[in-house]
Amino acid sequence: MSARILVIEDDAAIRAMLDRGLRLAGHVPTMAEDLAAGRELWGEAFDLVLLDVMLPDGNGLVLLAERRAAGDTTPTVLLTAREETQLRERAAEAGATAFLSKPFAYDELLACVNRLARSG
Amino acid sequence: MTAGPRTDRSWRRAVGAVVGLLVAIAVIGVVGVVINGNIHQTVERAINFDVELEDRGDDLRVAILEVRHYHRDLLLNNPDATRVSLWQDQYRVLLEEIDLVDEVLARQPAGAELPEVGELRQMAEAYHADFADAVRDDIEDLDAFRDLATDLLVPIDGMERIAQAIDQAGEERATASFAAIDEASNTGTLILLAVIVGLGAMGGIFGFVVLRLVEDQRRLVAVEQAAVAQMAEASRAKTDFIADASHELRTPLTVLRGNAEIGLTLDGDCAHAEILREIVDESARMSRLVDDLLFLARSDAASVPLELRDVDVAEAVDGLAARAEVLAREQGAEFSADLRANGTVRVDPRRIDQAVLVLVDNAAKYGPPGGEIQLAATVVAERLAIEVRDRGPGIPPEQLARVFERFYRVDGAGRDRSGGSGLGLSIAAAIVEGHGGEIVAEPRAGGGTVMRITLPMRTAHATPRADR
Repeated sequence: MSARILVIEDDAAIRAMLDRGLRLAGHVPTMAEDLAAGRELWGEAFDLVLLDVMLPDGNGLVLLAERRAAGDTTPTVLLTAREETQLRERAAEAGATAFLSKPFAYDELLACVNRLARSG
Repeated sequence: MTAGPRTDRSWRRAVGAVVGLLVAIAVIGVVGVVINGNIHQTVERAINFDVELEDRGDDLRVAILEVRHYHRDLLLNNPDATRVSLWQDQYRVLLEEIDLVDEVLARQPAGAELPEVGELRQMAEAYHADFADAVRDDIEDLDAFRDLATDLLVPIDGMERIAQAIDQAGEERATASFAAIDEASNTGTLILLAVIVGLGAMGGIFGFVVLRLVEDQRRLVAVEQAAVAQMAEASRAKTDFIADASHELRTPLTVLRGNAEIGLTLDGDCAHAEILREIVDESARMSRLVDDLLFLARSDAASVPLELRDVDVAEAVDGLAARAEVLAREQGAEFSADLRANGTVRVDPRRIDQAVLVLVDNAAKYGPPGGEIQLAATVVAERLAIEVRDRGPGIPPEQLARVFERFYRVDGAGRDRSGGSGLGLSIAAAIVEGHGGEIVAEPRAGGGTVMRITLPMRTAHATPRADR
């Protein structure tokens, strides 16, 4: 299975790692380094979005809420820190599909993608 | 804290001043009482004796002058029966006055040097005897009578001088007494003034000290508040720093771990596989360490996120024993459970499980391979006690209390063997304390260690249950 995946993540090293790992598993990742770039790219059709929360130009949840309000149902996985329980409640309200706690295992990432990505 | 010794000094000085004033007032008071007694005595003596003596002396002198008057009347005029009778009457008055003076003198205070009245009486009686003989019958020789009468004026004068002396003594004494009363009452007024001034000074000192103490106290409280605020700020800054640092470590860890795992996926059999696996393992361990640090930083800030709910103890402990058994056996240890607790506790069950599993994990890591780990649950005095007992090397008694310190390692327990962060027991302690419970380490009879967690219960009953 090959999924089109939008990655919105500000850290270049994580972006590079995700790009490498997702390509290796046969997926087609697209990278966005901040909220503005993510907002622009999200107009295309994706099977899955990996969304970092703390971005330099704002909170990832804001973009997610915008997309959901516009009727977008693309499965979205938040890249979070494990202990952020309060964040999880807010994220669920904003319409997040799942969470990946940093630092996550490669297996976890692939399992998550395989489980949630819309078959395209 | 800085105001403490100064406050003590102020106190001591104030107490000294007040005690000194009290002693002074007491001494002045005693002097006042003595002086008051003296005034009383003096007044009493003045009324009972001095003034009366003066009065009687005066009367006596008048009586003598009256005798002299009638004596001269007899001398200068015809000494008939009427005049003789008048003279005789006046002589009796004189005797009565002498008796009265005698009566007063009988009451004279010790040490008073007063004229004798006995001499006066003898003089009066001798004079009367001499003159009475001459005036008794019809006077034949008038010239001789007049000579005698003239001669007898001398003893009358003598008597008058004595009476005058008595009168004068009485007057002097009375004057002296009134002067003494005056002086004593002036002294009394001074004493009263001194006492009033002393009491005023005492009140002033008390007021001053109270004001000083209040001021010191206020300053002390302000200093303490500032210190507390500073410490809270420092503690918050530290907690924030640890939280931020932990958070920041996650990003490079994600990259390290992800890339190492991707490397292994690319070629699991290459020469670098072992190196990549070590990177994965170590980054996983570092992740745990970051989690632990973040948890402790939050527990320092008293914000351990606990999801409290009422939990059935028997059920929860059963589940916990199952997980503990898996954990123990994974590490090659034997496991047994002795569960005798029933009732309800209000806890975050995931956190309590975490704490107990830390203890089981430690017991397995530090115990001998194949050693037995026992999990026990009982209710003691309305508290749930969960014990993890091992047959490991034990903890030296002097180190028992320190094992809950962060990064503390019991001597001889090496990092390589355990692979732990050194924070497990600190986290267990933070969780248990966050629940209002206690955690202790004790030596186990027959060797090894007992780690005991006690938690307050909502309802409790201990029932014997079969060992698992």
